[in-house]
Amino acid sequence: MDSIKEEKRLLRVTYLFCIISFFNIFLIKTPFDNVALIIGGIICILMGYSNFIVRRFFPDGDKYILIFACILSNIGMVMIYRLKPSDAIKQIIFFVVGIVIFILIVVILPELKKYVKFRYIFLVLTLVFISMPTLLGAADVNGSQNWVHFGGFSFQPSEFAKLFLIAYLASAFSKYKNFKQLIEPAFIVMVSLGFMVLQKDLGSALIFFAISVTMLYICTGKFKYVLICLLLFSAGAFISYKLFGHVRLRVMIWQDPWPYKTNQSYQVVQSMYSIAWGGLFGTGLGLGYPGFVPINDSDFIFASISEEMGVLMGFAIMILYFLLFYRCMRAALFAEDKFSRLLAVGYSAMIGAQVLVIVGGVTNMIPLTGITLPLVSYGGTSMIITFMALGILQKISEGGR
Amino acid sequence: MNDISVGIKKVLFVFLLLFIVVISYVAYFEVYVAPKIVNNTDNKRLWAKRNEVLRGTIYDRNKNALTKSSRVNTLTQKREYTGGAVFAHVLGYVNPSYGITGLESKYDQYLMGANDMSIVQYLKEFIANKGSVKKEDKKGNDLITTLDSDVQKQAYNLLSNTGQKGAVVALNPKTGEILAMVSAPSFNPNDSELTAQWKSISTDKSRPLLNRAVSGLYPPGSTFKTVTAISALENISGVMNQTFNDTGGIRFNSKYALNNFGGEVLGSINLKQAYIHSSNQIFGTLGLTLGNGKLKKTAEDFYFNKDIPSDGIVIDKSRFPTYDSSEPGNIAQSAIGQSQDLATPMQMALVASTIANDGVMMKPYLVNSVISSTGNTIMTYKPESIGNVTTPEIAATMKEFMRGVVTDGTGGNADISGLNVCGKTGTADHQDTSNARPHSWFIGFAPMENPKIAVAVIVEDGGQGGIQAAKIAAGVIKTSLSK
Amino acid sequence: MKCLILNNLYLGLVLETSGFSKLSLIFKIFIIAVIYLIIAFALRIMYKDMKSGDKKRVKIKRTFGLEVVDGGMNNMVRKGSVIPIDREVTIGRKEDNTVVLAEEYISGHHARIYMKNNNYIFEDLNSTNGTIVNGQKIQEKVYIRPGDKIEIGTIVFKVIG
Repeated sequence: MDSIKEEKRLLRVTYLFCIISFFNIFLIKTPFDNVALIIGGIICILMGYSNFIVRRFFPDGDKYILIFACILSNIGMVMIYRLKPSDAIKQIIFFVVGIVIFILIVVILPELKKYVKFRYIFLVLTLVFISMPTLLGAADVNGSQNWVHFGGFSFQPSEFAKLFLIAYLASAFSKYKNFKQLIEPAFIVMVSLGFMVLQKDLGSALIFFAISVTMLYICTGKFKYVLICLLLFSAGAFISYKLFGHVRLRVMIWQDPWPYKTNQSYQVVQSMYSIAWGGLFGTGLGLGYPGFVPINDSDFIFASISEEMGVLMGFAIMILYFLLFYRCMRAALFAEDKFSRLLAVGYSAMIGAQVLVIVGGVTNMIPLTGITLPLVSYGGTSMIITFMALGILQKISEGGR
Repeated sequence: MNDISVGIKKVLFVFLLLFIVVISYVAYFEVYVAPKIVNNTDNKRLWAKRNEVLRGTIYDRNKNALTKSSRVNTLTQKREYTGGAVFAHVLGYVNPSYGITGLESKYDQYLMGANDMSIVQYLKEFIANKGSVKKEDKKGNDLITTLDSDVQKQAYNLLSNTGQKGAVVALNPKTGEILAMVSAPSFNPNDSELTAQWKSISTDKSRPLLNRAVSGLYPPGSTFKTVTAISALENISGVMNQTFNDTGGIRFNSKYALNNFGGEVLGSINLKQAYIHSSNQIFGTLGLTLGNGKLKKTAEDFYFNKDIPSDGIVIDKSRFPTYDSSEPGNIAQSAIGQSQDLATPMQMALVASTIANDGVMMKPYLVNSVISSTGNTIMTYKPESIGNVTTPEIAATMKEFMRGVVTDGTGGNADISGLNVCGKTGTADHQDTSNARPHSWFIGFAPMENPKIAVAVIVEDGGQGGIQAAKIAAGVIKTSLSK
Repeated sequence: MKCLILNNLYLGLVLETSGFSKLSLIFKIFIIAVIYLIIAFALRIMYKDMKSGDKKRVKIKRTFGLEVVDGGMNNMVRKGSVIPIDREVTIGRKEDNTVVLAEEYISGHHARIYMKNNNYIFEDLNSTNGTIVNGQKIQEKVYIRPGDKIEIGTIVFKVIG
């Protein structure tokens, strides 16, 4: 019973955060922006209600996954509203859709271990989604060619491919007995990575790789395989550096962004100015100039948050992501069969790696890639995929016996 | 089962490490890298922040606007300098590419308007207004300077008409107010012009960007005899009644001599006449009699070798050298404002104004008051003394001497009928360019009985002080006093 | 001279100490304090969680029971008796089951009833003769509610709770 008190307290502080942030935004504009307060209220209600549903009807699972997801989404929505109010409305809708999917997965999906059978379906789906942009000839969006447009909609198939790849790897690895059985998954992973490099989506490639290596390690427990993979990856990276101009470009602007600051490295440089400008506590909501950073509400939202809410908030976000990651990994401990366990590890790693790659890129610690910050960045695909993963993780955390 | 949980714990640990690495990098970035890059000129935020407030207006002493700021959009504003090149050096400019200089720089904070409203008052307004003051309406404070536009313009015109480089400084000797400060060649500080001309003016050998009035260092030439005379009056008793024999020059040895201008022989004269006719021999000898120590002390009383306290401007240090007794030639030369003596026009103007003000040097200042955009006076400047440089008696004596220069001596061209103009000419040899004409100097004040203006004029390569510089001084004084 | 320019530009930064930024300062501090409060609470919960050895907290709100409606051909159980279901029971012929029913139509490990998310699930463990719930032979698993009728072998239970 104690834990319910703790959860409720955590939730209450989350509401407090939501209200204060939106109140601040309320005060920024002249005259006062009433919509901000309304939106703040709506978000609080959404968070409270969804947590209530999960707590009431699915109490076996991990309560904190949803709470952390809500907190992070909240921070994102605060910032997005400050940047572009119209996008914030859309983000709330994506959030609602995400939560609905989350709950649906927990309700509808039966025991996950059944899905081991679908191994080859996953394989096919992975390849289909990952190759879609290359085969359908997608347009260049912000330097990466991994978007596909259908009528009015555009989405990133590679995000879905991630889900299926993890499912495939989980099912393939769960039958692992010896080295030979690793060849097939290895091949699929390499093909996927290849497609991603072709699509100039280097960030996703890195994340795929991280996920695969993590799952491999959990599956085999042998460190030497990890080492071999790292070596292969380095070799692959080196080859693609030699082969592809866009890889060279990324490395060049990462090593020394300053000479190109008006041209190729403009995004990273502006991002760095943004983060530097805020200092520890930020300039205060509404007082900074996040507008100078391009794509400031999705890929570079971390920079905008650091500018206006301070680097301390940036740290807080990192810590919250790690806590979320920890809860997700913990769910793996409860899984009764190898497949579920691998699935849990895979999806946790997906979220964790994504955070590391984008924060590293935005601060120029590693070369910049076109990745979004899950839950915080504006973007429907990202939000939905993340909630799908979280839903599956929640399901796994309910455990069996 | 167990080894799986070990594996998971290891993975957790690895990811924890990675997260810590990234967090540390962000911390490192913020602490070390950020301060270095935040001031990069292409960081638009610097100027966006600055442009949030409509910059205050700078007025002359009669409330004529010398600048006009208007808003282009929320992120940019335009500043117009109504005086153009005339006021370019004293006001400076504010330019995103080329920086902030002059008075604009010194009073930057005021012009950007840090308004100090109490928080309670602010909150009341805030709630009543349902929000803070629109960014577009924020205004900086205005400055009322001590400058007199007419004097400034006259000084600029007269100086530019010579076609030579140089500077003019005009002060109010009683208060230290800077009435005019001009440097030639000048440039147009208005944004579009500045950008168009930048390449040429920043590489121009005649250095139009240099404010010669406070940063130009020149040998003061005979104007320095004023300091030497004061030093003699302070240190050599009975020097007033002494009779000197001027033979046209001092011979030091077979190779070296210090001669009067044009080798003029003045014969038996006293100190006053030596001053009026600018005898190099007499003053060189006085320098040797005083010795470098005493003369240097007097020079330093006048703020040579020291930073002159001032407000709204930055004055370069004038220099008086140190010699030991084994260098009689240099000592003599330093007494007549040559050798390694270097002075800014502002320094020499202060010499003149000190004498005009009975021996008390007043702090030169440029801004009379700072007024908020709502009309409140935020700051008023009070005149301040920066030294009792010499006694009123000696100052009175010097006034006589300097009047003599204008009536009977080398400074005749500075005379204005109906006004008792006092002054000293200087013809300073220099090595800047070989075989160039000497600089033409004039320092002075008027009217003698109740000085209202002290000036210093230098025309580079202008020849004899009594000609070009004196005429400009006369013109400036006339404009100032004929109001 | 460049230094002077840069110093002045940065000065512009420091200027904004008045007006809205003072108000904003309060909010800034507050917001950051709240988020770290959240983190502190969360960490405390995680820590407590780790200490208690990852035990799952299962709230037993509802306890079900199986009331014997028909004792079956061997009269293994008396009609009217209730078998309480406390989180999990296994039913079968073998001795290692929670509820041992020795009947030839009942398999060694016939079925399992367990709780998930406050609901009870009846799982047939691939028994030879299957289980009939509410007149229908169940495939593998089914939710059971009070009032449901379960037939294992020839024994009939009713779910009460």
